Amino acid sequence: MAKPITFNTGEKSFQAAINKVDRDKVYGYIEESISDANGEICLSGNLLDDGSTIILSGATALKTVDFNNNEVDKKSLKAVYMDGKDATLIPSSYDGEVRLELANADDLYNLEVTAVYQLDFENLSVAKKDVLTYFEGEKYYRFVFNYRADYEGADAIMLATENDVFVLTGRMLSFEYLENKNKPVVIEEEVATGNEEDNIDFGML
Amino acid sequence: MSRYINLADEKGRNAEVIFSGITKKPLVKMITLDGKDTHTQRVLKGKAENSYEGLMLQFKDDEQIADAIIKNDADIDLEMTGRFLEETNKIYIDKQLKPVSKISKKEIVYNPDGTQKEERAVKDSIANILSENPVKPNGKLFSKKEMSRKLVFAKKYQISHINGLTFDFLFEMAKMLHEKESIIMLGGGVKGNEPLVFQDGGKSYRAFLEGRVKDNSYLLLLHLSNLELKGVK
Repeated sequence: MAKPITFNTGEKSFQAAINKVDRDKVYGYIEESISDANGEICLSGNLLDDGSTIILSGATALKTVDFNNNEVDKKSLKAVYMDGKDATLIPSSYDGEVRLELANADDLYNLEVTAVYQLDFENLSVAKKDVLTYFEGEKYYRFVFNYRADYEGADAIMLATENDVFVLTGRMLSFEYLENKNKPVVIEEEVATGNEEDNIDFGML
Repeated sequence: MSRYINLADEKGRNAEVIFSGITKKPLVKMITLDGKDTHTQRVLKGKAENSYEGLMLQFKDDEQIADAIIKNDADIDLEMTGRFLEETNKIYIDKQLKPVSKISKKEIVYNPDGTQKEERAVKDSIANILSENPVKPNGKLFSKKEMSRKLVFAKKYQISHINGLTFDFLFEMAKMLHEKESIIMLGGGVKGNEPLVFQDGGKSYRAFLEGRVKDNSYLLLLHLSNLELKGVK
């Protein structure tokens, strides 16, 4: 089992590993297959702006450069907040204890979820049933999640369903309530993107 | 940046209103020790001819490829490697690494265990949020708390009015949902039961409307879901 994280609500402390819920493993997935006029499978690539140079996937890299476009060694850089103050490194959630703060349903609905994790209690002293019982009454807890030490942790909310405990991570959005006042609106043009199968079973609804 | 959506309420009234997302602003930036800004630049590692596939076309086996790399740096083009890249265009190429112009597409559907389920023609999705058929609620209210334990809401958009009439229209919707502590599923298409597609060729999502009010102001959010909150073993 993966390394566990220690969670603490103030009233209760427990340990659990977290396993990412992969959508592909829940619903399956779709791949697009492209073939040429002879029925041979094609590869995808990119054409550079010179109109003749072809590159394959994985043929590019990201480099950090200064204002003169000279590459800069990342070890020689420092992290600051946008106001210029030195940024604080947030430790990994695997180092030390993660403090859980009580949250509410609106917090969950404000969270733009980018990853879902399922808590794994196997082989640990704290029973899953014990934690599920604690989460009864539709409790939500929020915390800052960091897989590894970083300057920007992810917002996270822990909640329980009937049989499992989950952590949803992403970013907490802040919305403005609107009054009856008109304000200028910039309308963006539509951009075509890729396609994805919607194979959620909504029979329960 | 905002876009229009043709939205109806439960009484069958509809209006074109605005929906917009919130762009993520960076919290932190990396600077040099003397305080100068840095930025990220995409650079080229090698052309198609320098890739493993390209070298295999030229040298035919791994041993000869290894020799060529050791002796002549065949995996590097000294003029192109390290070049800064801006816009590139996606193309399809054949096994000879030449561009192809006539292609056919199909979808291969895989099961969760990775086994192939079926092959089929590509389904072209058409945007349905601004068509003559407004996006409409399906009539059934779901408890916010209950649904938070059934679905994962990945993407959120805020819906905004564009004038006084649409303010009343949206405020009333938000107030109803707020008072009932509920969300309602939205659907597109003629019957109002299709997932929402925001642009031609785009992904389809199940969408839910959530409303909150505070004095004379409202918050109406469109939540998009493509995952149920289900445990996996």
